[in-house]
Amino acid sequence: MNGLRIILADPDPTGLPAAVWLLKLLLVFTFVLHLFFMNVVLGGGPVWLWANWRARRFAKSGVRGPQSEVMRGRTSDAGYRVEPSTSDLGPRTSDHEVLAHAIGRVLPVATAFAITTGVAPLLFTQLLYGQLFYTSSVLMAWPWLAVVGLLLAGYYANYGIFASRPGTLRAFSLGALSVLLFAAIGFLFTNNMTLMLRPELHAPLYLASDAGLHTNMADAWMWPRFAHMLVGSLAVTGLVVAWIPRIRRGFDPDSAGWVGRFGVRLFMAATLVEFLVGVAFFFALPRPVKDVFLGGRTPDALLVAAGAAFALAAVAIVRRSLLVGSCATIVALADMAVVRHRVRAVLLEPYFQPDSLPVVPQAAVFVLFALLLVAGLAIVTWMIWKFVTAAPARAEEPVAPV
Amino acid sequence: MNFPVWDVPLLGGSLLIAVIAILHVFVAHFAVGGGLFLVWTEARAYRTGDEPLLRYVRAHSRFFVLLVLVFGAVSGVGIWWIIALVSPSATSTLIHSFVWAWAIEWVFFFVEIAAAFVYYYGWERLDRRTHLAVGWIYFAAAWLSLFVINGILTFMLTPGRWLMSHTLADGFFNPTMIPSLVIRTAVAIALAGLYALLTASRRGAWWRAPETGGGDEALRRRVTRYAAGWLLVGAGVLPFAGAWYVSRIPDAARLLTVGGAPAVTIFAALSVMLSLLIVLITWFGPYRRPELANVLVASVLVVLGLGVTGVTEWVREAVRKPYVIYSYMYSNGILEADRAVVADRGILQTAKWVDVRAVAGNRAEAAAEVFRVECRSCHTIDGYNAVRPLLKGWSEPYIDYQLQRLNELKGYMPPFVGTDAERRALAIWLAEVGRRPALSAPPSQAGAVAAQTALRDEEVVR
Repeated sequence: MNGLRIILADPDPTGLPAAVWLLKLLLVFTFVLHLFFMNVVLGGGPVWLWANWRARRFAKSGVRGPQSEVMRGRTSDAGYRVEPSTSDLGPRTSDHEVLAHAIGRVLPVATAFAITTGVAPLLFTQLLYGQLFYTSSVLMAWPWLAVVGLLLAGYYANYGIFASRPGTLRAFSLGALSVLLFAAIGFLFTNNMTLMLRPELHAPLYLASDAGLHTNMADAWMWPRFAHMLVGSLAVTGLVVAWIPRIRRGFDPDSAGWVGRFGVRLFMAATLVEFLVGVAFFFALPRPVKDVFLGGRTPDALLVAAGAAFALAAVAIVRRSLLVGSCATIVALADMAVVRHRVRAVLLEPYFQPDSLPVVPQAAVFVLFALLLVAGLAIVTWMIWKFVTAAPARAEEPVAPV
Repeated sequence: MNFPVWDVPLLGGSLLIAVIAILHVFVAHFAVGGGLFLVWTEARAYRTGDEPLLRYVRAHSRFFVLLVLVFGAVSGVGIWWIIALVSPSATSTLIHSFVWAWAIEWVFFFVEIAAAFVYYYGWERLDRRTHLAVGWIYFAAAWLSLFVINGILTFMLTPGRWLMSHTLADGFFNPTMIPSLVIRTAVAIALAGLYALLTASRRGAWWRAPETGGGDEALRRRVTRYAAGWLLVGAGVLPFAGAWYVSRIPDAARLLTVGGAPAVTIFAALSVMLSLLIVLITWFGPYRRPELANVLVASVLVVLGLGVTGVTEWVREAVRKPYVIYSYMYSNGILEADRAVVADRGILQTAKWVDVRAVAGNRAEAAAEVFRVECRSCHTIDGYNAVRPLLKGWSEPYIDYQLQRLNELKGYMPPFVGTDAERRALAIWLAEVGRRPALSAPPSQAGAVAAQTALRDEEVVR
């Protein structure tokens, strides 16, 4: 092999079916949607696990959490049967159990939508960056293919969580499994998404082995990027937890207050930790990216600053207004998705610019897609509205899929 | 040629695609037909005031959601994963040519998943009219999703006018699109019956009459016969739709199913025979004598159904050979249009991901590279579709002769493209492979070792 060789696949001869800016916009927009649901799955698992640990029934002592919050009599509103208590306090549920139950109900739906919303950005990634993405995927073919199996197992684990009574050993084990599986999926995604940005590694790695067993673990910025995603997902999960008692009916007022406060606290703590991780991540970024974001290009530097500012604003205001805090967080998330896109663009600049790809517009079909998207969203909104405004399910009817 | 080739020893990439795709197809068609089955049966139960039947539909919907929403959706994503790894060039073409079709399919998929959740969690919450409406929305979205994917799938075998125009509409509305859509819709209905037989054979909670607490055997027989009816109706359409489909595929592809390639012919015959067997068992068993139906019978039918799905999908893929996109791209990712250039300049010069650029003193390494680029996407050395057993006893001149006329002698194989020197090197290398015992290392590993050493020496600069 002669020196450092960079091999880059040729662009697809078919050309792009729309202007590059439109495809980039769709890529970033659908990624933000995915980010939200994916964060709930990734962050919901650890919160479920923790809540189950605090509400555990399998420990010898039988203590299910701090005494202060134990033992308010209530029946489960859905999802699992409340077993008769052996003590004289009657059926009861601790706050942690309520929290676990609330998250457990969200997890399968969030998983489904994390997958559904994930398909679109992956489609646009392949369209714009296929020349790099297919190569990095082949380099780590086996680990990358493992995502499918891990996802299948993790999804079923989340259904198992849904059907489990919080605090039981079964619930705890399924939670641990779900956390491990989804963290592994995130890890593999971070690997591939960073490896595809390193075309200079592709040829040496492939020519060393074509068995598809490479990863990008040796790349220094991969780890903080993964950590950034993990901690961020806890923050988003905190916000969602804070919303649950406001949206869903049938909560015991005391528990609802506790769950809401817990969600807000989790959001604030995770966001502050995210700042530290973010700084570490920033300094681990490859040189050219750091230079650009440190002020080499003003708009890019402003983007990073704006993201941090919105996140800080969200932390400052979330206690007074959950709505305003959530809106600020959504802006920060979208901003960070744009920053992520810019990092990609800056790193690839020396090798590849999507703007140079040939464009063969398919305007009519695009319009059809846009119309169907609007119609589809309208139908989904109608269904959800019908569901939310309908009378809640009969309390005694178990709806968990067992 | 444009992308690196992933070496999957023993299994081969195409077998990985087959395993994931067949399992997905078996569940995805149920996702469509089962949706119709649910809402149709629910409407029927309301119309006739049949509470026990409603109990069954609810129980069936739980099975449906757990299988379709999870396994169906994830395995569908899995197909995308594996084809991008095994045939990145073809995947890239499919995505670039049909991106808005994929995007439209994504809208239907999104609606489908949302409707499935609302339907499943809405049994108690929603009034009957709304619940039925959501059921119909689910089915419509699922079938439309099939409609879109069917258009793209059939394009690969019969791209039709797309080859000239390269427009999405020409590729999508291709010669086999409608017949295949009819087949797949019929299969979806048949599979709805097949899976319903499975849930009907389980004496679950639905089967217990709430008044007496005892098992409602009459209900079970009724549901069994009803489910068998669905299977038979779907299967009844298949011979006609199948004949229509076969009449529209390219002549060369049809030839493969009637003797052109023995394995394909055997599998095509198996597909017909297993289908017939399913129909006969269903007719004489669950339909005529529902009282005899049990978990064992239903399971046998499910296994046979999976078998039919497997061999039929395998045949559908196999008859496309030597192409992955007919008359456009060969199975190994080489474009028909690039043939002349590659033959002239050589595969080692035109392929991207090779370390050896010419045949010189490194003949074995060069040949191994040629094999990787041109043959690996279908063949392993030992394992699935292995070359070693095929080469046993073949001399170099004979292999070289075969390589020169590969596409004429074996209609399902792409032509060898490359220079004479590359072809001769490959022939020598293949002959050596054939002489060595099974599972032994390919003639030279020196290339890989050298590359590793070079990598260590240079250390990648960040």
